[in-house]
Amino acid sequence: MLNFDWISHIDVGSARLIVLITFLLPFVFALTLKKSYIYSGAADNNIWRNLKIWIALLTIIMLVVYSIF
Amino acid sequence: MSLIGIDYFIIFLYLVGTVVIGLYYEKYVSSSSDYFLAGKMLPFWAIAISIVGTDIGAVDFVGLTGQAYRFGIVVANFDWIGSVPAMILAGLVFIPYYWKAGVYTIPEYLGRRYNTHLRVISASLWLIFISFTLGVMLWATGVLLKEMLGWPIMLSIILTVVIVGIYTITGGLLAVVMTDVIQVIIMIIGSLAILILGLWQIGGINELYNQVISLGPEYQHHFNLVLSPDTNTPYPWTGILFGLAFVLAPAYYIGNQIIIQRSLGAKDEWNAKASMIFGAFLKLLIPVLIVFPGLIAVALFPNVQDGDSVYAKLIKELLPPGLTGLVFAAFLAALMSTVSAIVNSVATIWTKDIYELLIKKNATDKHYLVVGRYVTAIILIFAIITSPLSAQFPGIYVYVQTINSFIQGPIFAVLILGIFSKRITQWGGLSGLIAGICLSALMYLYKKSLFSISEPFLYISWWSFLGSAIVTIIVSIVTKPHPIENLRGLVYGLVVKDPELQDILKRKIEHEN
Repeated sequence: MLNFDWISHIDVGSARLIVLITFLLPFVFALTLKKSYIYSGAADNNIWRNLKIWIALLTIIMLVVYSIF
Repeated sequence: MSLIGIDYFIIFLYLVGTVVIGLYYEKYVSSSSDYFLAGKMLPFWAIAISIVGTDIGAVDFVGLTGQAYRFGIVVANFDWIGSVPAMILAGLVFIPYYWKAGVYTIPEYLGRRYNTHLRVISASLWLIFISFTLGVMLWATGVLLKEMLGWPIMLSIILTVVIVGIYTITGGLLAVVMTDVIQVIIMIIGSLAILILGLWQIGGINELYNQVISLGPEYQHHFNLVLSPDTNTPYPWTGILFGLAFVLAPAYYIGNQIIIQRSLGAKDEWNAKASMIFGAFLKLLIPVLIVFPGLIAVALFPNVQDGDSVYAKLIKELLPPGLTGLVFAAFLAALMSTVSAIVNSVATIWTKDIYELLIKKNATDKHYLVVGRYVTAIILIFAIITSPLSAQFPGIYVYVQTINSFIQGPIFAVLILGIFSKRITQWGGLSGLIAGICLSALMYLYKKSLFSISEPFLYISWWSFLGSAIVTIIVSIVTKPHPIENLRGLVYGLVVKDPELQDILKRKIEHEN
């Protein structure tokens, strides 16, 4: 049990899918947050300050990298 | 390997520049808040760069490149899945929460949420491990510089400590962060030089891939990030996901004082949030700069027995005079950025969680500022004195790092349960922390009979986290809950959904600014 034998039958392809989902979850969480929370404390509401866009970009880069390697 | 005049000139320029920049920020320090939290005036980009600089020590250049040489790009998981999701969550949820709560340290939060015992235990654990880590890390870097350049070990250590001491004692967190910015830029330029010249010599990325794969079956997985559980590396996907992504990474970015302290010094809530997320972008670069040189070394020097020696070999074979000096300046920069961050955090924890709590309450703010500065100096002297212990206990660096990783899971379990559940009690938290640490120690002692992989620290982190969480919940259920009025501002739902409290916090923040 301590060695995760109970999930050792999962092949590497499926494991990769689980890893990709792990990257997607924080992005999905970010999408649920209100705009007022994302901009809270910001000096202005410029689009570049929208952290959801930053997170989307991060997630896309990681999904591409983990899909290739 | 030897340096020539131009190399020494570049290193000298770097050292002098660091001191001058650090001293410049002394004029901004007039209170303990200025010293420990940079007067809450830090922009997101400086915090992000500083977090990354702190995260990468000089030993990591050699160690990570060596690991990549032996195991391939799976090591990059530490900066990718082992950082990015946790940093996003930290930036969106936890950092703004701490920032609004106005705490200086994580033990301070634990003390307010649970009890003074837990605050003192967690602060003491941090102080002991971080202080010893400092001495051990300084020695390990001194040994590396001796092997590479022939510099006497104590010369490297004293040089580092004196320079870090000058700007950390005078300028506090602001000087630490701003010098980190310069240091990280130098680290990136130095690493890029090795990467570009290495790829140039091999003939490009495709050629690198072909050459490594053609070396034999043991290199077939050198370009795989996800490895099966029966891999003969310490990094199966199960350990990477459960131990690293679910426990160690969040514990590091949500519960590690060294990292959190920078974001607490942000000039507003948005900058606090953005600092972590911009930091995640910078983390994407780290494997390219540190792990890829390990793969380049596989192609250029395929039969090296000691992976940790390949970094020095890359410098010697690839870099012309001048650039060699720059890479060693980067090496010193990596060491200094980590040392200064550790020293600043230890001074904060000692002053706020031990001195102000147990030794001298209600002193003037100036008094705590002076204490913070003295403590910084004492820690640095302590580091110099304890660093030679490493020579008497070989392998101590690995042991200290391993044991340090074992307390992360239990502290994180107690922290996260305390933040999200008002039913968790002080006795639950205390029992969970102690049980989790004991569980880690037992698993480490019997690791050979319990685990099938050679270095199961990722598995131990997960199980100790889980064990700690279970004990915390069970003991909380059977003990008396805290009165709800005692938890206002300390449990997530009771902060976010309490308009009166939000108003108080807003006024407090405006007053501090």
